[in-house]
Amino acid sequence: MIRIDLKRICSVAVIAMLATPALGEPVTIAVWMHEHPPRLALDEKLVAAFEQANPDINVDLTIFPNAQFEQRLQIGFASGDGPDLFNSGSFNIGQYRHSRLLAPVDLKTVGVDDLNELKAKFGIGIAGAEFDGVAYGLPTEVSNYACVANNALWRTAGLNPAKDAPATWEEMVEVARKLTRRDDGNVPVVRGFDFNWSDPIFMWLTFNAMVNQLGGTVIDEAALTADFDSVQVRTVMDFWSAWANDWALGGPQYTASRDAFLAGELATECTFGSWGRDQFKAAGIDYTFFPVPRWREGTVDTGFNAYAYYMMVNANAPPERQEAAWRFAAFYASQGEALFEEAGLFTTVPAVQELESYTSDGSNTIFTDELDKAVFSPRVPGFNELGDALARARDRIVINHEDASAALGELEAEASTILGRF
Amino acid sequence: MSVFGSPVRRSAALSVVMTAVVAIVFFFPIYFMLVSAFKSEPEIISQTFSFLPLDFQGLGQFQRAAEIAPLGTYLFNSSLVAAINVGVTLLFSALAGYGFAKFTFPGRTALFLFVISTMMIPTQILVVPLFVEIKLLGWVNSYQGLIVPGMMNAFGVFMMRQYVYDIPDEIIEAARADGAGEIRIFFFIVLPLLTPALASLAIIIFIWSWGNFLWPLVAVTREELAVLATGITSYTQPYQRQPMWGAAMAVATIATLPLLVLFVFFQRYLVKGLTAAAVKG
Amino acid sequence: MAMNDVRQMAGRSVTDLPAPSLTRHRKWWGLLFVAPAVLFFAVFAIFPIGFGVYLSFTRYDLLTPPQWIGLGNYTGLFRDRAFLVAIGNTMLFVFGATVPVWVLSLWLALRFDRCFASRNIWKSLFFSPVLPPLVVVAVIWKVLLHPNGLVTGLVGPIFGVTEIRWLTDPVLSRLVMIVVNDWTMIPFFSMIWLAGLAGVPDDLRRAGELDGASDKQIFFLITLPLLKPTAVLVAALSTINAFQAFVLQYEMTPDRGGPADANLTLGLLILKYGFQYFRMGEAAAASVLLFAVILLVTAAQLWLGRQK
Repeated sequence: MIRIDLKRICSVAVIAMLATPALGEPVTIAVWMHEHPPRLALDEKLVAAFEQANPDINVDLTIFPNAQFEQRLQIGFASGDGPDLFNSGSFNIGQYRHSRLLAPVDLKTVGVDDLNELKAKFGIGIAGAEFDGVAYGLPTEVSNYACVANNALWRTAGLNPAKDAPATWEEMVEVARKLTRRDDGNVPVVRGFDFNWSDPIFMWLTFNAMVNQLGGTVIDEAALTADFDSVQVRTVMDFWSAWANDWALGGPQYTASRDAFLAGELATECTFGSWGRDQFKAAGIDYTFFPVPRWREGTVDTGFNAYAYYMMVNANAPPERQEAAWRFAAFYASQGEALFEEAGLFTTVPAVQELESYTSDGSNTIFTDELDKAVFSPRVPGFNELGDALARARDRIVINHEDASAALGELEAEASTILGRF
Repeated sequence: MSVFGSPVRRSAALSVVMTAVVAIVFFFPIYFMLVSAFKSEPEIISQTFSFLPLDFQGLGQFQRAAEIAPLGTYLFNSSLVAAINVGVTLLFSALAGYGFAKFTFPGRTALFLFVISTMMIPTQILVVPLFVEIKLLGWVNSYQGLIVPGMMNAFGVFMMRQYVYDIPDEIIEAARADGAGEIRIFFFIVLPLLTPALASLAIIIFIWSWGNFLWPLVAVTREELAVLATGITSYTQPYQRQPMWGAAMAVATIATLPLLVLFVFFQRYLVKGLTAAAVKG
Repeated sequence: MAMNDVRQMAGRSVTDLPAPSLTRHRKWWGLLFVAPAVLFFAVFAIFPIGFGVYLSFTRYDLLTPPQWIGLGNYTGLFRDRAFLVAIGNTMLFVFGATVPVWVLSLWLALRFDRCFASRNIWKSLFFSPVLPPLVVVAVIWKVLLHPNGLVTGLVGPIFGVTEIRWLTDPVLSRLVMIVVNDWTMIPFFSMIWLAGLAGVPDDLRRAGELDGASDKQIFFLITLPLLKPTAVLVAALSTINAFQAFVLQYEMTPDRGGPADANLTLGLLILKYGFQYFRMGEAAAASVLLFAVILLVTAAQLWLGRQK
């Protein structure tokens, strides 16, 4: 366990303290975050350090179980009992912003002059919380996916992850074929690679990204329109469908890809972030990361979509609490090094990439290089509903064998209705 | 021998075997849960099932579960909530069931429908207004707020009413003729006759209370007041990692065993003979 | 004693009326007995239910105050594809979760009602599905129902296949939801039947035997009529539960209600509307409609099973 360098924290806190005028009465801010065991000890230390450096602010931190965090958050807002500062993801940020729940980042309090300075301070992670040149949150974690190979399974098939990793989806088909092991009924017992079919969120993070790779966009964030009936979407859908039906390399009926990889029943998986390393070690899997494949004829060099968690301020909170909240948020979000070393959470705070613990593992550069090229999934209200509609259309095509054009046309109509409400 | 046979006649061995088979089939998935608490993580989710752990973990999964969350607190709070739920529900339900079944008064049908209609509304939409209500009472993050709104269950009223119907009116009338007061009749005649039903209701309410997670999630935010049902999601849907099924199964096992013990203990109340004796006498 | 006399004695009400003043007095005792329960619900149910009804007439995303839109949600629901699909799915599920449960739980309760050594052990094993939280039940069955998993291993050879897509086939997955639900519910209701059977005096049955009645006659003509209140309870409870069911569908099915919404029940849709789609108004409206249906069905069941 690497100890926090208190000097680092104190220096930031002192700067924070000097930069802002002292307030009169102590202000108490309610901060809600979701549960993440590796981060909890760090949370306590940071709260204590901040309160010591800022005696005029009391931080009341509440942690909720991850599964119900968003639900609890919404109930809190609905009953007038919501937090002043909360840590939520780039998934619901579109809805929260649309409902005018989010206060724009208070640049002065955070200690910068404009958006560019903000991005210099916190890195490209800001992009996921940026709308029309205004940022609405400070990142506490930025994550993107890379593919991971189970070295043992690859070697058994005579492949070397360092050299034979597929650069394109077309190559992935061949690689997966070699890695797949089947039983007498020709059913895959060990899959070479499979998509993550298990939750609609992956339709955004992976399927949508594959459409992006072909130069397509399914949602226009500004205009709130949907385009699912395009040639790019059709290409990706055909590929997923062929994967399950024509080539029988995987499909929604099998164990979810992450579980299967950890159980040693899937040779390659592409929805783990760098945080997956601990889990691979715990499962006793010797692994190699490589970038997510592109399309041979693709026009955009990007991997899967990125996502991030942000400290966001409740726009309905009284002004002095909002200001105090931004002070704490700025303090917390700038602890990139501590977040990385203590909690295993990556942020794009520049100092992180100079840490010895960061540079010593070569695979980290894969993630940062990919992150530079990554885009965030569309941040629109109705995000969850759209994701469900997309997953449903996929199931209709892949499982129910419905005609793809018809299903995609209906999907587009559905999406337009959903977005039309906003 | 047909299933309609008298319970007093001894049954053929074959019949017993069939019953045993049925019991084992129903029990098997629970066995899966119990044995998984001792398996390693990959083994649990592997598509090939083994009856005994290939990689026996000892108490490893249990330790892991205890490290991640305060199991002791969860167990205490869940037990407290369940015990109060059971006590209050049993008493209020028996009273109300008796009132609805054996008395006629204006508005009886309407009131009964009102009471049981509270079971028919999906709780998902009730939590927000209910939370506002306890906020007004100042009960947020307190034991009262956690326990009181859910401590009575309409299901109990429905159940007790149906079982009270089975009590012959003569017994009650005879007691009244003997000069017994209504309260006495309720506590010393009706309640004893309801024992099997009360025992069943106790078990049901206890189990339901243990599994109830939506209200505890909303009513309390401090960890000292958290219950098992909300705590278990720390294992099944953790942040940024795969579910820890081994730990979840370990916690489920810990949660299930007391219920099983309670059930076995209450078995002896689920016997006939009490009503029969009353009728004869 | 003739069997008719036996039945009459068991179900007969008091024929000689007590003095008028006592009857009136007794009425108020009835109200007193039901008062605690009624008052409790008056305090903790009326307000939330009323507020829920109010929300059904609003557009509400939980984050901003509700806006009144009158019947907009109700008309909108009947034009909503998801809602219409959910109705059909729910009807199918309710049927599968009530009729077989009623019959099987009764049959199995009778099996366990008989006296034999080791009965309690088997009864406890039989009862175990009721104990774990549904979330755990879901994961247990998900593993057992893997396409090449244990259950396939048992059933597959009959049809000569090594892979059965239990959870992703539109037809099979619906069947699976019903079976798993029934697996958790049958022991529960068997226990309710057993409590009811405990109230059926043995000597009534023995009297029937002495009269030379067959086992079947005794059951259908003596026992079952006496079990009428329990029968109504089981029918009504299983129905109320089935209409609102969503946890298994949420946890076990692909895309939480899939494949392609084959398992999207009303309970699940209400959860999605309220807490995932930020459409609390529609969730409330759907809840009100669902409540109305459940109330009608239950009232019908109660009326059909009323005590004379």
